[in-house]
This record gives sequence, structure tokens and C-alpha cells, in this order.
Amino acid sequence: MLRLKLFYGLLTIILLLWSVGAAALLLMGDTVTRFDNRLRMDYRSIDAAQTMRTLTATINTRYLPSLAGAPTEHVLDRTLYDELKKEIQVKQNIIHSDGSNDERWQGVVTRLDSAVASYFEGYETFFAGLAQTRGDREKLLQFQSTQTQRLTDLSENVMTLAEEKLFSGASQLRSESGKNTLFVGTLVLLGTSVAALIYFQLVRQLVDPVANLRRSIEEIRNGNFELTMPEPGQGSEFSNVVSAFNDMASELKVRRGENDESLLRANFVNRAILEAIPSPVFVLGDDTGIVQINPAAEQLTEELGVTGRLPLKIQRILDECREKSAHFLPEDPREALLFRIHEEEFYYLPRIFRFESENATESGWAVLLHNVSRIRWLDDMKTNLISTVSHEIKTPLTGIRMVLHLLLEERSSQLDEMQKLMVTSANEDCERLLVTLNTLLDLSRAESGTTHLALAPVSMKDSVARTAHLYQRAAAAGDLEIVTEGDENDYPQVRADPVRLDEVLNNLVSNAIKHSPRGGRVTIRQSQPDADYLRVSVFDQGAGVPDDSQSRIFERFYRAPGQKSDGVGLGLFISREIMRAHEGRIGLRERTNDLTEFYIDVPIA
Amino acid sequence: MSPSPDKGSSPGHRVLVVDDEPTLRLGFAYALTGRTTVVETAASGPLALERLADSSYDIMFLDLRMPEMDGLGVIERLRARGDEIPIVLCSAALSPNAAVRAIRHRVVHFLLKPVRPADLRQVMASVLDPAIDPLPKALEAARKGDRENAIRLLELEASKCRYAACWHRVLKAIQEMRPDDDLAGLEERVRSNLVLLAFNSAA
Repeated sequence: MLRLKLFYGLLTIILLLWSVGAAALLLMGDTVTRFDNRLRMDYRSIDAAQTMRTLTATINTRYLPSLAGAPTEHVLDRTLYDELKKEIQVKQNIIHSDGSNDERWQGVVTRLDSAVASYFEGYETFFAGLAQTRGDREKLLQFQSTQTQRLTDLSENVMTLAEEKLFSGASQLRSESGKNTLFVGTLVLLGTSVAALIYFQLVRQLVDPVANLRRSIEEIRNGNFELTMPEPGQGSEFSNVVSAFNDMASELKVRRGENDESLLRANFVNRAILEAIPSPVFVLGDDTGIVQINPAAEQLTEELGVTGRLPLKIQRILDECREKSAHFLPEDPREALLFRIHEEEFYYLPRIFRFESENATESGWAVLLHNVSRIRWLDDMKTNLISTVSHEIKTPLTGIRMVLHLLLEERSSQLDEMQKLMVTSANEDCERLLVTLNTLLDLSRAESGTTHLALAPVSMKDSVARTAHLYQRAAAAGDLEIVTEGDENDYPQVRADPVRLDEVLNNLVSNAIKHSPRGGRVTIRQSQPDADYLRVSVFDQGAGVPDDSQSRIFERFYRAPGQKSDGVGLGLFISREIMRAHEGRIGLRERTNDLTEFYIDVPIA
Repeated sequence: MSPSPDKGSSPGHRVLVVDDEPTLRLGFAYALTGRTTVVETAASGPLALERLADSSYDIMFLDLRMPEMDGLGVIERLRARGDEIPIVLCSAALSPNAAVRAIRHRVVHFLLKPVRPADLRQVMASVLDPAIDPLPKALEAARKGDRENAIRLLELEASKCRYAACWHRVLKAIQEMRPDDDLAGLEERVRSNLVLLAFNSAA
């Protein structure tokens, strides 16, 4: 109970104060009284001695002259003498009453008594009239003078002694007051030490807990929930505070424990998921510092000799993504990156996505490397197979075609109608088969070749001119006209593989011719839609692409329903592949003015 | 097949067809055989070299892709031994590398398979009897190793005809190339033109 302690402490000080004051007052009063008594006593003694002298002088004055003269008959009136004698005796008693034990004083008083007694004896002798003779009278006078002188001297002594006593009393008082000062000083010192004691007690009881509390709050702020404050003594005002504080700390500890636990669980789940993913996964912070990687990623980086780091190729893509703040989610296995591990080739398709917490405070990047080596291998196998098979079929087919052509020439012998019909039909099949084989070869070329573009600055104008020239004959066969527009503009060169670019243009123009009505017009127009691309559009006046086919015409082997023309539906697919490899664009524009427009955008060199 | 040399007034031509495909050999021979033209065939490069060593021919149709020894191998050996016989190189596809190598060995006639009989005869005629047209003349000059003359002739034609323009560009590039130049660099420069070099490419 701090309040009680405070009260007792202050009470002690007040009591001390009071007692010091009382003691001082008492001592002072006592000293004054004693000094007063002494003074009075000594003064009375002095006064008495003085009076005694006066009285003896008066007596002598009255009676001694008669002694000096001739003896007379008449008896002297002794009334005055008796009166004064009584007074002297009173004064004598007063001096007696100063019951001082001083030896000197006692000696003087005794001698004074004897002197007084002798003095009175002399006068009694006088009054008895015993000294009638002259000699006797002179003797008596002499005696009385001596006694008077003695009395006077003794009185003088008494006064001196009384004065002395007065002085000695004063010095005694002084010494006593010194003692009193010491006593009061001691009391003051005692009070001071009690006050100091109370101060330290108060500090311990009041300030220390507050300071402890502050320290503990500081610790908790720093995350040290393990701390508990020491319980103060029973009944302290701070016990409530401390126990409340400790409760709070333990509550926080429990909460944090729960948090830690759920975090641990979440972390565990995350790790389990990451470990279950067979593909290497990197989780990176916004600064692309690695936050977490899964065992597959660890193994990969180890095998690549870049333990714990992102392989450089991927870092580059990630940097690009960061610049654009965009995901990088390629689907095509051909965009996979090649990694050589122990002389073996592995293809990993990097999928990079940016993630953000709901309140957008946390963000980062996740990189998943999808191993597409097997897919790539199968794809390559397929491409090779198509290529090989096509070549193998094409070689004998050229022979067959040759023979059929020769038969149809009828140089050496005429064919009858039936024979001619059959050979013609066979020849048509043969031509169709050749077209198909060529397309398949194109496909395999596109699939294996788009990654090996020979990019160079190329004049789009030349490319367009080549295509226009190449299809002049085919267009003429369909009574079509090929028109080029935009040639006159001085467009910058594009960055392209000229052979591949021609292939795309050829394909678009060939399609346009195929779908044009007789007597129509195919327009090849160059333009520059923006600073980065040069555009070539191919317009035809055909029926256009059916709405539900529009999204699919660039797919592999897709052919719009109801098409009678030959081909296996690879042209646009291959074109798209080529444009993609050029980082260009290909597309179908919305139909305007009954014109179908296909366009390609090629990056400017 | 059934040559009838007695009927022609012009002296007969001897043609050698080299192809590993029997049907093609047959077809080529049948297509080219005429009243004054005799066609012989060889099934492989080494056989062709043998035949060429034994007797002389006016023109040879040579397949590029053959087992054992390919067309370029045959060309190189022939040229190495000083045989400047005109050669028409037939192939399904003309690679830049092959084209440049062939041209440097003075082989300037290419046919892309499949070939129509008419193309065969046309190319044979243009080689054996180059018309007064500048283009065949230029090609003949090139074939004979006079590249400068060929380039000069083609330069005049280049603006009129894409075929001539292509040839002009390719020959010029080859002409300007020094022996120690990187072949790949040249191929890169003439690559877009190579597909058009074949006699029947515009068809």
C-alpha cells in the first residue's frame, strides 16, 4: 500500500519536526528559567549583602558616636538597633537561602555569620552598658569598627562570589545550549535521514515500476513477448498494472503463437505444393531476389552451375517482363529455352507471372520452368517424320507425274477416250497429292525453320514486287488483276528473313487469288501503321471469311467449311508461325467495302 | 528410245540423264528423245562419270540428290578433269549452298522437280541452241565462265524481267566474292533470289 507508506513516511517526518521544535522550546524555557532563578538568587544575595552593609553603616552612624563620646547616663534607645538587627537577620537568611554548595561560598557565609554574630555581640555589650570605662569604650569602639569592617569585607566577598556565580551560571548555560544545539542537530540529521529513506523507498515503489513498465513496453514493441514483469509486493498499486501488463504480454504471445502456427502451416502447405511440382519453380521478390525455390529448381540450378540463382536466359526474360510489368506465358513449346545439362539438351518453357497481394502491398514474380523436352522431341520427331515421308513419297511421285504427262502428250501413240480419261484423272490426283506433300514439307520447314530465321534488313517493296510477279500468271489464268499500292512511299526497311517473308506474302496473295471471283482484283497495299511496323495488306473481292471461322483460320489444318479449293489448311498457319518468329503480326481485318483484308505487320529494321 | 537420226538435217544431240529414280530416267529419256536426239541414262554419279569418260555428250540432266555421290560431287569431279559439258541440275529443292556451288562450277541451269516434259525440252533447247534472246545468251556466257559478259548482258535485261534481275544479282554477288570470303555471307545476300533461279520456278 503505497498510500499508507507515503502517509507513514510523512508522519514520521512531521513527528520529528514536532519533537525537534518541542525539544528546542523546552530546552530554551528551561534555560531561561534557570538563568532567571540564578539571577534572582544572586541578585538577592548581592542585594542582601549590600543592604547588610548599609544597615550596619546606619547602626554605626546612630550608635557609635555615643561610644566615642563620654559615657552618658541615659540609656540609648535601642529600638532602631533591634529593628535593623531584624532586617540584617532577614538579609542574612536570604544569603543563607542561596543554598549553593560552593565551598568558598559556604566559607564566606559562615564567616559572615560569625562576623554578624560578633557585631551584634558588641552592640549587646554596648547596650548592656558594660563598657563604662573609657578604655572599655574605646576597646569596644575599636572592636565594633573591626567587626563592621569585617562585615563590610565579607559582604563584599559575598557580592563578589554572587557575581562570580552569576557569571559561572551564564557560562554553564552557554555550554548547555551547545549541548542543546547538538541534540537538535542530531534530531535534524535523524529527520533528514528518515526523509532520505522515505525518498528511496518511494523511488523504489513508485518510479522503478514505471521505469520497468516502460522498458517492458519497449521490449514488447521489439517483439519480445517472452518477457514478464516481476510481481511487485503484495498490496502495491502497481500490482494491478503489472498483472494487467503481463496478461497483455501473454495474450500477445498466444496470439503471435497462433499467427506463427498458421504461418507455419501455410508455409508447410506452400512447401508441400512447391515440392510436389515437378517443374522448377522460383518465387522472387519485386527486386527479383529469390524468395523461395522448390527442390526441382534447386536441382536444375545446381546442374547448370548457378546454384540458387536464376539462369541468365530466364533472368533476361524476367527483366523484360519487369520493364513491361507484364506476364510472360508462352504456350508454344517452340518458345522453350535450351539448357545443356551433362551433354544432354533440355527444353524448358518459362512461364513468368507477376503476383500481388490483395491490398497490393506485397508483390513479386513466380517463374515456372515447364520441361517440354519430351514434347519438343515428339514434335521434332513428327516434323522429321512428315518431312522424311513427304520427301520419300514425292520422289516416286515426280516419276509418276512425269510418266502421266508423257502419256497425256500422246507423242508416240494416241490414247482412246477411256484411257485418256483415266490418265487425266490419275494426273489430277497426282497433282493434288503433290500440292499436299509440298504443304506438308512447308509445314515441317516452318516448324523446324522458324527458329532459325536469317534476319536482315529487307526492302518490303522488293518482296511485294517479287510476289506480284510470281502470281501474275496465276492471276491472269483467273482473269484477275494484281495491283500494288503504296510502292511510291519511301518506307524504311524491315527486319525479316526475305525467303520467309516472301513465303507469307505468296501465301496471302495465293489465297486472295483463290477466293477472288473471276475478273476481280487483288490489291497489295503497303502502309505504316506505327513507328515500329510496316504493314502489307492483301485485299480480295471474294466472299470473305465466314464469321464462325474467323477465329480459327490460322489454326493448323483448319479449312473453312464448304471450301472446294485444294490445300490442306496449312498456309495461314505457316504464315502465322513465320510472322510470330519475326515478332510481327498477321491478321484478318473486318470486312469493309466488300473487301477482305489480310495483313501482316513486320518490325521495322 | 526410238531415235531416228537419219531423218534430221541438223546433227543429232547426245543427252545423258543421271537419276537414281528408274521411272524418272525413263520419263526423262522418253520426253527428250527426238528425231535427232539420242538419250542415254545413268543410275548414279559414278556411272555417269564412267559414261562421260567413255564418250562425249552435248548435255547432261543431273539429279542433285542421289545416294553414293550427289550431283554436286559429279559436277566437281567433271570440272576437275576439265569436262565443261553443259549441265542441267534437277532437284526437288534448291538450297542456297548448292546453287552457289553449282554456279561457281559453271552450272547455270536449274530445274525444280517435279518437271513437266515441256520444261525439259525447253531447257534443253535453250542450252543447245541459245536463241538470240539476251537471257539465254547471258546464261550461256555464264556457263562458259565469262561471268563479266553475262553480268553485262543481264544488266540490260534486269529491269524488264525478274528472272534476269535475280540472275544478275546472284552472279554479281558471286563475281564480287573473293575466294576466301565466307560462303554463308554470300548465300545470305542472294538467298531471296535463289528460288527464282530455277528455269521452271515461275510456273
